[in-house]
Amino acid sequence: MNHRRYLLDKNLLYVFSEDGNVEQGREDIGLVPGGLRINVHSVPQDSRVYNVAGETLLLGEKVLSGTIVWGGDFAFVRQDDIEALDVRVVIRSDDGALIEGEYCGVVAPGPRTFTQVFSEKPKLGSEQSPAELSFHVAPRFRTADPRYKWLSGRQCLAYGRVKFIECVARQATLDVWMMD
Amino acid sequence: MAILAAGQRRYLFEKELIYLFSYDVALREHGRMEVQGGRTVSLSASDGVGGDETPPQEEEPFTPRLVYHVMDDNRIEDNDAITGSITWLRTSLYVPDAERTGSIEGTIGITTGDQAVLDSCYKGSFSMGSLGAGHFDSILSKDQVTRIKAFISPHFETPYPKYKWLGERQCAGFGLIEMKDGLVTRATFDIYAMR
Repeated sequence: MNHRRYLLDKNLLYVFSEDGNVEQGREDIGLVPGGLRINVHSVPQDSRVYNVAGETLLLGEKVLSGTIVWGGDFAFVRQDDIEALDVRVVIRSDDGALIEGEYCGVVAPGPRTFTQVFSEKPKLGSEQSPAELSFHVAPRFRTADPRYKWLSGRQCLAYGRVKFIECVARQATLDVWMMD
Repeated sequence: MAILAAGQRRYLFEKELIYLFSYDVALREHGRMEVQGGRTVSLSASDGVGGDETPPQEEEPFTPRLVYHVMDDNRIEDNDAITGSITWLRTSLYVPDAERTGSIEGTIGITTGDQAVLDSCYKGSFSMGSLGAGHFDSILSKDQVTRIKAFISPHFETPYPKYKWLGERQCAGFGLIEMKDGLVTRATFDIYAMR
């Protein structure tokens, strides 16, 4: 076959990390065609973005750190045991800029997860031993603030972990990387 | 496993991108529309045969609609490699006048060599560099070819059990979009799965 024999350049630049306490509120929308809809919301004063190494500059630009003033995941737990994530956040940086983020992605907790949410015991995770699962999302951010224009519109990838207690997500933490 | 207060982590999680497949696609513009702050460009896959649709065939091998593994490997971890052809692709680009980053939104359908259909809607961005929106203008010298880096985040759906594993992965695509005389002519992407 007549095709390319090499891979294109791919770079990921570390942008920030984010911790979200998602115990603020929850709406069980319930069973809809194809699965279960659940909304969870983050606790503003307990959800932050930060740089794990405490760095302040990224390629000469100001690193983003601040609080998540509003965050929610409009999750869809599918009957095929895949959970589709649809996260929206609004970040207020420590220097006062507002940045909104939109993350879509998936978490695949494994077989029988869908039925486990409803009926099976034991439920996923407990107070003594929360279940920790990996998830992957693809965030994009928007802002009009010139200090963070470097981030606006860029496609990012995020590697995260979420802790479940009794099948309920309680805390999510992730690293955001910019595709370059 | 305690629940920590926010901002306490001092290490990065492991990140890995598993190469899945690549694709080449010849593109045909269906129209451009002036919108607030820029313009949109509507594109679809073409067969790249005849007339002005023929993409330049100079330095690189390029087969329109081909889905392939760059090293022709047969396996990706525990699964068969994904090869086949692009059945459909429709994409819209938003090209801002005053920024260097534009946005992509589209849908792609792939028919694998074993006749499974993989479908994905995706969003993404592209970096236009210092030339900015000038990539999309025919102000350059005739036959001038320019390229922009593009990044997409597809998640594939399929009812075929053999490819269920692909639906469990968030994917990422690194690509190049090529313009000739300001018109989009073709694109090539490498698709990875996040792990």
